Amino acid sequence: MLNYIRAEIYKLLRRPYTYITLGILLALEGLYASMFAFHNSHSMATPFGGAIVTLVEMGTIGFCVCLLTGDIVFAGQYKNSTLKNEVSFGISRTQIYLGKLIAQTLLSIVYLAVMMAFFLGLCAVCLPIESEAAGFYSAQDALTIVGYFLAVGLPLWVGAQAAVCMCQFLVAGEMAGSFLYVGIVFVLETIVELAGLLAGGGVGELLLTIHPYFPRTMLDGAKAVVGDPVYLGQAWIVGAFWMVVCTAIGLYGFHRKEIK
Amino acid sequence: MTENTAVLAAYGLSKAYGSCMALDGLNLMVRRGDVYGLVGRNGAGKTTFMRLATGQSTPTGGELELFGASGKDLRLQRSRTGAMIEIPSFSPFLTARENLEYYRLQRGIPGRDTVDEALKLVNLADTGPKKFKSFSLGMKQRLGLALALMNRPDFLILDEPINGLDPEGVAEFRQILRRLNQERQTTVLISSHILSELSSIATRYGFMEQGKLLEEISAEALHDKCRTCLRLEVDDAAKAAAILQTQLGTDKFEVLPGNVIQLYDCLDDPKRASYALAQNGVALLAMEQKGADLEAYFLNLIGGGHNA
Repeated sequence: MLNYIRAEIYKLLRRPYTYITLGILLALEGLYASMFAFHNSHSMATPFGGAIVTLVEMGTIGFCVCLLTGDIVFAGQYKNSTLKNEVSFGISRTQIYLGKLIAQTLLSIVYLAVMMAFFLGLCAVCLPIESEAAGFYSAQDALTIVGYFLAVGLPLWVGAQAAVCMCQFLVAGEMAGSFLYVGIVFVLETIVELAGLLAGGGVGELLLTIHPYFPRTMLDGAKAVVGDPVYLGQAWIVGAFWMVVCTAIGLYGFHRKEIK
Repeated sequence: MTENTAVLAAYGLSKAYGSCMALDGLNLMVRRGDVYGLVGRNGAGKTTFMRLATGQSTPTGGELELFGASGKDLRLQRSRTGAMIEIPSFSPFLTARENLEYYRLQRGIPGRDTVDEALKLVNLADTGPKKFKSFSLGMKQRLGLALALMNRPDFLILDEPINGLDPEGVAEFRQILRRLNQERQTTVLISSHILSELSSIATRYGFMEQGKLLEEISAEALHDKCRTCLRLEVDDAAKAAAILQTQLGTDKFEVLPGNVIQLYDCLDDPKRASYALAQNGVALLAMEQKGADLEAYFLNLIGGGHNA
């Protein structure tokens, strides 16, 4: 398995897509941070804490980045028919699947770390650390909120990464796989909630009970319970659940798939 | 492992795609040291069989053995094989060296020199920063072959490996395969539509049609069957044989039932034979030149009229 992951990292480091994607994401972050700096130079006085705490509104981006990192690792495997080179040599399909998932997860974590460090660093350099204007979080409080948000988000993003991997392995078309992922992570929760509200009764109650345990709903809910260890624990359980279920389904499907 | 040990064996192997039987109870055996040429027209099941052998696909029936292992143990034995099935496939944004290095790392093959050796072997050592996506078909084929050879396999599975190679590449490829087979005792299973090429390297043939093996034959036996000869139908075969020996000084003939003699001599001057027989009172009832190459043999086997 280590050999497989090493090889994936070797490929990732030589893939322009890896750097271009990160570059675009960092540029967007830079643009976002510069908006605060621009406003500060005119009327506002948003401090470091005020800027970074807005990250908690951007959890959805994490789910989108999962799709990108998944694509960076997996893209072209079906299109270029390269999986046959791996299977033919006797590498087990489980190893191939888990190797890709681990590589995707590692890349996501690296992306997260680089993006967070870049944004925090940029805000620290461009914005005042504290502000006398009312209504802004102090740097300390904002970091605590962001830290909690990340702690809740991490397992949920990993769960979503497993969903990305599952979709990629099960659906040969990359576009179709991406749509399936968007459907599962972004649309399904809305459908479940609506169905729960419309169905009413026992079924409706069941659906509404399930609804908060979708990764995106769970991450959105973290804003209201900052510092709650129970919620944090639930997020890790939910993330682990999504990871295990998606991986099991993905593995089952991949083992039965014809490699062409 | 002895010479006759099966490297790859199929017992009643079947593969169905819906209602279509791509392989229908195939029985086939590739023995150690063979260069086994798989011959069949499009859709005969050659690639399907190779895909099953390499684990890209799973059989719907029957059993497959690789180095004596079957079932779940089959996968482990695949690390002893090298394969190139259909079009060689690599990451388009990586160079030849990077692509091979990726697979070397993935497979845990020791030694960085392995990549250079493999590239050198297929004459791709000087491609430098050129990406795979810019390779010609011939270069892609060579890289596919390099990947198949990189782990010094005991068994090579090659599906149409000379497609896209230029004449020089074909000759080099032939030499490489011969060398591997003779020096490293690498067993090879190879399919090709270029039957003249196949006939220059194969030591054994399997003819496939509609997912079944029609015939398995050694190169020598095929050579004998396909040998060009004069088919002489005479009134007294024993007397004719004696005349051929005494008058023409040849023993390159076979006496077949029905007073038929197959003469492998005098092919450039058949009149010599007919004259000698006539001079000595043997009636020559019919004479024809007979012979076939692999293609003709195959076409004859499947009923003729189809391209391989």
